[in-house]
Amino acid sequence: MSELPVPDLAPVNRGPLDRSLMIGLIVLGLLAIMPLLSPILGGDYMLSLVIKAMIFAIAAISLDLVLGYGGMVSFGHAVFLGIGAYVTGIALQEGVYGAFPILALVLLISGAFALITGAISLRTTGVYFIMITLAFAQMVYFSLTSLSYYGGDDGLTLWDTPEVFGMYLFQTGSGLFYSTLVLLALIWFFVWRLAMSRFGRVLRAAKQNPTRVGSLGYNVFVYRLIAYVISGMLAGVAGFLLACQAEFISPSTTSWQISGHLIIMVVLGGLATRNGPLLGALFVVLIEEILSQITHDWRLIFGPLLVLIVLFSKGGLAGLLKNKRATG
Amino acid sequence: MSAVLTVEGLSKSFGSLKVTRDVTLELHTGECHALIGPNGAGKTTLINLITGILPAESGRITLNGRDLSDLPMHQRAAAGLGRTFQITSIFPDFSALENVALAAQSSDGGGMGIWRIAASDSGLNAKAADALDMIGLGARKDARGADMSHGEHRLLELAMAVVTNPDALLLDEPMAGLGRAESEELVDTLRSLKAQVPLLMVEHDMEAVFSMADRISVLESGQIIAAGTPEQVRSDPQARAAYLGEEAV
Ligand SMILES: Nc1ncnc2c1ncn2[C@@H]1O[C@H](COP(=O)(O)OP(=O)(O)OP(=O)(O)O)[C@@H](O)[C@H]1O
Ligand SMILES: [Mg+2]
Repeated sequence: MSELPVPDLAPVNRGPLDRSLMIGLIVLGLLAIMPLLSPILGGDYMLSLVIKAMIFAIAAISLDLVLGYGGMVSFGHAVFLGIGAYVTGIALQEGVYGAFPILALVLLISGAFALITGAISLRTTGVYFIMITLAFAQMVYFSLTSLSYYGGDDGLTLWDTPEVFGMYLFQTGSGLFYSTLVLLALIWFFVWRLAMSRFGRVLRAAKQNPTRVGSLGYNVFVYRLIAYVISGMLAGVAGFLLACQAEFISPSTTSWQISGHLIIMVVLGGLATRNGPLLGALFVVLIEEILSQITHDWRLIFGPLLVLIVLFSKGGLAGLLKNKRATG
Repeated sequence: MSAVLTVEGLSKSFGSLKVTRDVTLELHTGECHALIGPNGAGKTTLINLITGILPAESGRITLNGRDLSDLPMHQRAAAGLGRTFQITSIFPDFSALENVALAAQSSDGGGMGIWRIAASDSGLNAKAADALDMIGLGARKDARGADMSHGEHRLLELAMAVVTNPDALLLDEPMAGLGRAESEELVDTLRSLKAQVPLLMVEHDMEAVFSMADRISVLESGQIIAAGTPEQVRSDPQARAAYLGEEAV
């Protein structure tokens, strides 16, 4: 029976997937030419704003793995940004300059933190999960404020940036811009592949009906924990970049406002979509900047704008760009 | 006839309500063992205890000689215990094919692949399509779960359970809500299925039960009050009083 020629059994998925791949590549392509356009768009200031947007896009994409594909509302995801930033800052302060060893440390420590806190939080669901992830983030926030050796409340200015074989690829400017873009592109592609893999399929199914997934022989807890750890590690990478860009680390990176911001980016862009968190993060960072230049009370515009987008676009910004045919 | 699945002395209470009382039963190779009883008798609870969704207070469950009593739900399923749910339990955002392919991958390579796109795994897709064909849903494989009818959901449930090749299959009211023609088709499907995998089937449709069951156990208030062949149960005064009443002629 297995010799029978198997026709393409999922042709319905082909079109829209290719379309989302194209949209994502176009967005990344546009980002890639930003440094060339920056003289007309506002120079270094514009460039560093786009870098910040791309860093948040990495964090939002990694949050989408648990929030969108996994259905776990982590309300403390900024904690991984903070961990990534602090590991980077402290390593530089202590004389570790190599980007690869620092990144390895970032992955290790944010992964370990995700493993421990995830193993505890994932025993709960719903509101309890939201509260416990928030509680862990607050715990780290207060620990960092009391870390007086590394600046405590005030944070710590960094005097060096990580190097790769003598090259300062993470120094503000086009070096950092392209390093961030490359990492963004890799993570964007990786998270989508992961979500569409066998592993991701189990994760997406558990969001819809965890009991049924368990009754099919999968250990839902383990799948969610692995997703949570991967997500935490990737958000840690965003934290690494954030430290490089700001040349400064501060406990406020782990604040619940930043966690809430990440959720807004993902929901606004489109939960569990290939380009949603990418578009959402770029949009939120840029629009906030633009609005805040126009008026001091920009939040009065930003709030209703969010509501309108969520109300009128099924599936967020990514939904707006999606082929109509794909939904039918 | 060897016992594939044995349940010994299973008990469970919700607060002061004893829903399962010292239940003992066996499921043999090649048979359809029907579990009948009035509403609230504890049939679904019994299935939940056997599959491990609910923890039992006492008792032992073995599958092919292996003691499953202390294993969590997912390990019992992985050990070969398949089931369907009384209240349709599928994945509404997945297509019919993906619902079944998800089930298929649990016994075919597992769920830990992180790079290959699962939807284009032709081995899994072919397996899932075969199961859908066998159940009679082949033409609907691309339909989204949420867009399928109640009857189709019942069949999809069954396809998901069958595709994992379980050693024992527990069906909780597979006919519930099906039309007459649909029920008759399903009876035929199940009759051929039981040669492949023994069925423990909870069902209210007496016509279906008496036409396909090899043995019947009657559950009332959590207790098995009668068990035997359809003829034995039909003539058992206690069983008649508890449930069958005028229905069984
Ligand atoms: N989680 C629970 N907590 C408390 N009581 C429960 C729970 N689940 C079931 N019960 C009660 O246990 C008894 C048995 O329920 P169960 O669902 O097993 O019955 P059933 O035989 O499957 O009925 P039906 O034919 O209606 O499906 C009922 O009285 C029910 O109200
Ligand atoms: Mg029931």
